[in-house]
Amino acid sequence: MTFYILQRLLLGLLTILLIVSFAFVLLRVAPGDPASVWLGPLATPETLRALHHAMGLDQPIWVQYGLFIRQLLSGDLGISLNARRPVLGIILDQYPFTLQLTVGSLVAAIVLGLPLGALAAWYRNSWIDLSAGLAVLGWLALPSFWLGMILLLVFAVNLSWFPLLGAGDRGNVGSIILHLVLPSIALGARQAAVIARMTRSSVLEVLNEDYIRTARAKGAGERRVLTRHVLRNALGPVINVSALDTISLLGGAVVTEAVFSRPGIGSLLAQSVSQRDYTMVQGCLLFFAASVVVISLAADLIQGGLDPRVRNARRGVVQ
Amino acid sequence: MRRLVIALLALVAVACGGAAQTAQSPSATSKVTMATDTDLTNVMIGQERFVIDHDIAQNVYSGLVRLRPGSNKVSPDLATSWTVSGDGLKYTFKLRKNVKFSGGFGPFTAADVVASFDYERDPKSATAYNAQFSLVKSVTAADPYTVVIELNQPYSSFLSGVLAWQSGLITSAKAIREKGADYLATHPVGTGPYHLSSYEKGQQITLTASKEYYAGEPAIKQVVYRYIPEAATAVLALQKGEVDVEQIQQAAAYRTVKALPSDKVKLYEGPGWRNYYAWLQCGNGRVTNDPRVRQALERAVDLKQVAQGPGAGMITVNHSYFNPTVLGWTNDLPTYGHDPAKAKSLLAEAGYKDPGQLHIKLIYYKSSLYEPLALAVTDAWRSIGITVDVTQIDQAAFGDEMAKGDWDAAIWGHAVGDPDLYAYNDTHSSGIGTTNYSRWNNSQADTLIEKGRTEQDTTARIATYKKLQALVAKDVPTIVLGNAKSIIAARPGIKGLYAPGYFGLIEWQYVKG
Repeated sequence: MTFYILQRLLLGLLTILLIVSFAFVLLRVAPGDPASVWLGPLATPETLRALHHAMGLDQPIWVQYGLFIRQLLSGDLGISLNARRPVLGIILDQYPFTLQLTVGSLVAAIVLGLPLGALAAWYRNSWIDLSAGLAVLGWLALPSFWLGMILLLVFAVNLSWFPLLGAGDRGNVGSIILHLVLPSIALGARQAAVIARMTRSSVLEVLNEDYIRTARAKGAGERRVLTRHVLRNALGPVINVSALDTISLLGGAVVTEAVFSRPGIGSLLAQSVSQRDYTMVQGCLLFFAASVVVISLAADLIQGGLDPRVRNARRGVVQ
Repeated sequence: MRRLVIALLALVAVACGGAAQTAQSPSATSKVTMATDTDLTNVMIGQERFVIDHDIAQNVYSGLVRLRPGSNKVSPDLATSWTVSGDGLKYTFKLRKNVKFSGGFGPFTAADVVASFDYERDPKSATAYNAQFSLVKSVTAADPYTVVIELNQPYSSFLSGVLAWQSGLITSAKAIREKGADYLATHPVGTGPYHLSSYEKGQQITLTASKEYYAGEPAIKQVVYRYIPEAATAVLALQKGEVDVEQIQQAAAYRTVKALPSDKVKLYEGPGWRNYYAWLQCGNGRVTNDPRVRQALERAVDLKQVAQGPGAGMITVNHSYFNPTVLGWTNDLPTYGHDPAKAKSLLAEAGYKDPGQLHIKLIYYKSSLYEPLALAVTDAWRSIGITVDVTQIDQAAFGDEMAKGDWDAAIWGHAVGDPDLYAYNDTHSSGIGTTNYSRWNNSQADTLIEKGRTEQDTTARIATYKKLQALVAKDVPTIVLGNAKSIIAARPGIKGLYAPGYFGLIEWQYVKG
């Protein structure tokens, strides 16, 4: 088991390295030099040279890359070209907000999607199933930006039930949660739809299995059948898909953080791309890549936890 | 089920409690919250990156001299008096005594002026104002309260264009020595009316009034800049009372705040520093090299309609390439008014009997009103039959594209506070290849520009600049699409609030509260 985790982590590190290297090259190849963007057209050649040097951009690209890798291996993500502060420090300061948003959205997606999908399957072809289907279609179609603005307008401005801006007071759990409700719904709605549909089809499949008939024949109540037998087996594929879809939540964080004026890595990435803050962009992408690796590993482990067949396959045990 | 209901009620209760806490006090203002769409990045002198950095720098630092809001006459700041030698090369400043730096960095003396300007002049510092200091020969402290600055050549805009603006801000020599520019980027040390007391990245920046400010502690004790990247959210925040003041830059936001009742929102409007232009390429062998083509392009556009329509009422018609706040600006200029028929006949004269034979390449980037203006201008030209090829370019790459000059028309703005910064950068032949994007080469203009930047007498300067503006209006290296209004929306009751020339840069010491 440990070997399996180590293997996955190693593969993950390689993935991260590839992604960040790709970003490294792409940034330096794209038009727009951070020094001249910052200094403007009045810059004397001397000043430009000095700034290129301060930004580490006056070396040939392979030398820059070598330095970048060396720094990376020692845990140094470089200095933000604009803010002149270590990138790692800024990211560590900001990532908790994105983490909150991602977890919040996942929770919202599960709370909204799972029961809806299960009910739709349980009461298949009834009006419940039909309305669930419509809701799902709606959630898939609504752009999160628009949904976010509507939620703000209705619940934060007109009804004043929720705050309009920011992530809440640090350390104040109540405030943090209050500030997470609307953005989590806005960001999680699309994933809720995915979870609902996945749950529905997975539950339907499981309902047809022999062991369900057996459980009923043994005299198990409907509630027990649903929770102990149906859901437990149906959740596997749902988790698999949700885990991979959680990765898209990270991308959605960029827009959601802007709409809700929340700090975070998404917001950081958006700002630094437009200003060609190379080191900051690299740092943010590294964070995203690392998050993807962690999330897919976690998803795999959870699935293993739920399904002994997967667990044993990993252990190399023959059934 | 019961547990769920209780949880929901608890949530509502907390929400209500939270809502009550954000209610604003209606009496005399001592705290103001302003929305900003950029986040603090670097407030070291000369290193300001974004608008908010400039806004904060102007409130935490002082310079030798300053321009008070609404005036283009230089007034004393850290210098109480000054003399300029007859040849315009030597400036002697007498400094204010008993001024203290924030953060315990001690009293302000001439050494701090020398250190700050040396920092700006050193190419290794890579500051944005390095080029402006290139005409400074030396900066010396004659005694602890006297600074002598010698120039390489006389420059009449030295006080108003270099020292009175952000290029002239002063920080502590000790701070530069002991802390370094990177630290000072987020921990500025200044003598201004405010201190940067806290900075929460991605959320808000707090300025606190300085009790030691030489002109007295300001009335507004605390200014919070709330980072709100989305303009739509910022307007909602104003409506909800979560921010008190914000700058209006987008048409949709302007429409919304104009429709709000006057007991909710007060609008402050005035001329801004930014003019919108359609620069026309006068070099590089482009079709717009022909002045008749340029005149035709101007005649095809109805500037009044542009200001109201695509400009959404946020633009004022301005015929001068200077902005209305600078010394010497005039609107009394010859112009080529809207006349599509005359435009077509000019094109025929220039060899384009069929306007469709004229191919115009227009570039712009998406920011503020550039896109609606680009589209409006394109429509106007197409309506008389000209073939227009419009290309949107990424903001970060735009500067390079402008400099290359492989275009016929380019939509861009320019926001500066001094006439020479328009004259010399935009229209002097020495700027061809760098800041003179249209590559306009006019020896008459060059003479006027050089005269304007060396003449000491203000009346003479104004007359020179009037002639220059008329020349530019006549030869059309640029079509001035208008002046961007400075628009501030605020809750009523903040006395002394105003619409500043530079984007949202309110100097809170002048706001009474």
